[in-house]
Amino acid sequence: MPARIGVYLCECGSNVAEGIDLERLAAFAAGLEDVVAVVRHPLLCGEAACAMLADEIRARGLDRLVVAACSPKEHEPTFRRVCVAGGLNPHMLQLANIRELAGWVTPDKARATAKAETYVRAAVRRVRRHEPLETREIDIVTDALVIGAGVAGIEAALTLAQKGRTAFVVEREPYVGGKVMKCDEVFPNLECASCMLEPKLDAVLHDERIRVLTNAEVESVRGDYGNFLVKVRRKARYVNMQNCIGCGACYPACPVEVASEFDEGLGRRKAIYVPFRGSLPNVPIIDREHCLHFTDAGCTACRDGCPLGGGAEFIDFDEQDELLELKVGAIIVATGFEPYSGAALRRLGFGRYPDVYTTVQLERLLNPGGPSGGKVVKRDGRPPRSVCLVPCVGREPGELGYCSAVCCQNSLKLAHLLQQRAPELEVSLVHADWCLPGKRAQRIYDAAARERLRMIRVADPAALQVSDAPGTLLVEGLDPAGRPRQIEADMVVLAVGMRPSAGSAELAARLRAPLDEDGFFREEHASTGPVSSALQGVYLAGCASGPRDIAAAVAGGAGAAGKVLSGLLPGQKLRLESAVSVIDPDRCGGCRTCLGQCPYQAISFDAERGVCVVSDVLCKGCGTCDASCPAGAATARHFTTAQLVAELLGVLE
Amino acid sequence: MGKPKVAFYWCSSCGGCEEAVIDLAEDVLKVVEAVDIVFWPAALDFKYEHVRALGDGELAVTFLNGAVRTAEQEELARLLRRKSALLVAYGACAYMGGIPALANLTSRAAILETAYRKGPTVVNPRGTVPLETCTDDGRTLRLPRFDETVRSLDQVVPVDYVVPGCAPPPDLTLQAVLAVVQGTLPPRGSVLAPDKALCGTCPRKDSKPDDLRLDAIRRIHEVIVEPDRCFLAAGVLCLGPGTRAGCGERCIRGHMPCTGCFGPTSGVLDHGAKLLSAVAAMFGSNDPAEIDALAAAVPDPAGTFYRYGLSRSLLRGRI
Repeated sequence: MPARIGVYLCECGSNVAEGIDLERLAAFAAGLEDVVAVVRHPLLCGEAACAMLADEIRARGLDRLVVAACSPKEHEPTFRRVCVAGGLNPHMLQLANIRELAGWVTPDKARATAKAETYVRAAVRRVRRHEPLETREIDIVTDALVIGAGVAGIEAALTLAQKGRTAFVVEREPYVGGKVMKCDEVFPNLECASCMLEPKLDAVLHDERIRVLTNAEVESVRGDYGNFLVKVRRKARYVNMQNCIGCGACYPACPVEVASEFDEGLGRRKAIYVPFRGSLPNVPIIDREHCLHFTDAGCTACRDGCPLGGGAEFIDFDEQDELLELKVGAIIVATGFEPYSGAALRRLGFGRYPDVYTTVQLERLLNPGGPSGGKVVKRDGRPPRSVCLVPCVGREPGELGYCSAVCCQNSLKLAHLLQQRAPELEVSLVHADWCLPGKRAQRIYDAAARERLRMIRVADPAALQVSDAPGTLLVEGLDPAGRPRQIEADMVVLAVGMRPSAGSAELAARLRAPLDEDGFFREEHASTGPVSSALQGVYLAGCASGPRDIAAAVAGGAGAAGKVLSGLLPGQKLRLESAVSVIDPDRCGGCRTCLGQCPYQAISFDAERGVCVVSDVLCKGCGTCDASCPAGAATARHFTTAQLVAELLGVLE
Repeated sequence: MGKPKVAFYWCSSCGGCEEAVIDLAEDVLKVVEAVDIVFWPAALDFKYEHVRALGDGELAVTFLNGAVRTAEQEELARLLRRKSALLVAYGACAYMGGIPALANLTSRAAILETAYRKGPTVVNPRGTVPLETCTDDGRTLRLPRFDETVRSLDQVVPVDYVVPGCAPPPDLTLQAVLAVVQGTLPPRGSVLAPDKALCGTCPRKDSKPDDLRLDAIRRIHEVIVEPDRCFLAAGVLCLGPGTRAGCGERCIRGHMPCTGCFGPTSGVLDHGAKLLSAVAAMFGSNDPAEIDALAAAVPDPAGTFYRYGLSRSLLRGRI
């Protein structure tokens, strides 16, 4: 049966009518194949006109509709609704954009009309090959995933854990709390970091609406806002999380000792260990790389030392990584930061002189749970006579290239703590320009200024050098007047800035979320969209999007969670794309070229049948698989080769 | 009524398709038993007059191999079309232009110039080139016209079926003949081979990685590919992902990658373009300089991706 196509020409007020001879266009359209009606109208997108169009479809028994008007970006949804109102499938429509592509851009009316004719012919040829496509909806998922269990991630998870919702927290480290846990006391109020966080960590670990996966990483992310499928690899811990009581008897039993990452290399740990005393969850982990059970002759010292018997229900050397698939509606990236570790450290003698430390190392020395039990000592175990704090490490262009915003306050705090612990200690604080924003930072500075601190101003922290002299280290630079300054100290502490968390680029690629030029996750807008990413359904909290202090990180976590809670409402439906791709299993040879091309990871390989398969829930209909499929097996519905060729020939003929 | 009459003919062809019929070996007896071969210039002494003397449609089927480039080939194609109930494009050249169609990348004049004057082994002091008519000593010699382009058979006359391959394998040939005799042919226009990509039947398919990334393109002599390893996984261009199956994977079993002689599946409009975009999709880099280097590692893209299909491509040749 031949098609019954109605062609409707919109004058768009004078927008189209002025530039195109619609009478001629109407006569042309009437002569095209399968066109049974051509109607001209002053403004088709108006409410009354849409109702008229729907009536026309019924009255004339049209099965396809061509509207020659404006860009499909403007009114395709409008005329699709018209189709539905007229009893047609919304995909039985084709728009010919004669306004933007002809009337507005071609001043000569005769030529613009000829151009419009080709577009109308192309639209008619194309719509003849249109097929009805099904409209589908699924329930949105109101659960959410938080990546990173630092202060920002924890705040996000606690905010998300509302009735009927689950917050999943994936943390790469074996403990929760993040970098803040390394500190002893934190600014502005000089509170003990672990005491301050403990209640929140406890709440996160015990809330039945929160599921924390430590020692775990996101492996792949598929799907979209409201319906993400996230694959998480929970790496083997080799110690049973449920049964182990965390008594710690296995640590002394372990014969292996290596440098502690948590203590920044200043302390030692065993191959079965908790990163620090009081770390949560209070279950040790076995470091497979160093454990003699794996590297050598199957040592079982930890098992032997376990007061509960150390059977496989406590320590299981055969434990395998676990792959979990989480279904979530939104994702909050709270991956934090790493301390700067670039070339400026070497310029300042780090790694060359044993008594040059970073501020993170000093935090560990000050921490009662740290390698020196809270005593500030040099590598030789003796307390320093003088300490010099060096500012802005890594801030210069070519290195980080930005101010990390917390180091000034942190250095003042560290100077204060040093002074407090050892009143005789001579503390020098080198500074260039102070970064002391907000209502509390100035008070920290004022308090420090009252102390016995030496504050030495230099012109350019990037020009500072550290060398050694007998019995001391020398920090050298120029003061603002260009005079050389030299500070003697037997301990030098480098205030390192913040850089993006390791693995940010890989995670960003998995999420398809963009990074900024510094490698942090890019906010939707620096000022007006700070907790949203460019990707719908992916939010940012804490230092994932740039350096910030604890308060700001926590605020970001709560903000991101708020976005999720207000965006994903229970009972909401998610409209799925109708024009998805299909792969013909008869033609597909299983070459899997499409697999790596699909930006939505919607294609999987069915090894049993030896063919690729498209998930019609994940597919967005972009057509990349169709373009890359060498076998002609993948087809993007509504953009089939037959439809596109018909349209092209309609233009070119 | 006697046995169905069958003709075999060759146009621009290397003779390999004729060999393919001979390769039926003892199976040729099944063919001879089922049909009368009434015209087969490569093997038997028939004259054009014998064909002209047949009634229209008297031949049950003609298997015509080779592309069409000369007036004589065109004339015979038209004649055989008229005399045959069914015309089968036999082999890659009749189907898609084949290797001869690569000549469409140059011109008739340039071909004659190279072949008769500039070729390194040519001795032709008078610069003689073939002419359609030439008179010498009162005698006139006529040669068939040499066309500007090479055409596939269906670009000259309507074709009913295709047996693909360079050359077609004996089993497909036998099946095609028997299908004609037994009346078990699929719908007109079909290619008489499976409509599936070759990777699906490749004996090396298990070694193909899920996410293939070409970081270098190697030619077959530059790398040792283990007998069970996917050529693409080893960086050797293999056109199996976009080429129709049914060949029996003869090249692959002979340790050579697929070069695409079976043409595309029915879902593809332009074989070479599809192969090119698929291979580009496999490039393991997003860096423009690295991509250029990968592309430069294919010394003859037209001859690689359009080795058999230039006549039938959307581009057809150099414009």
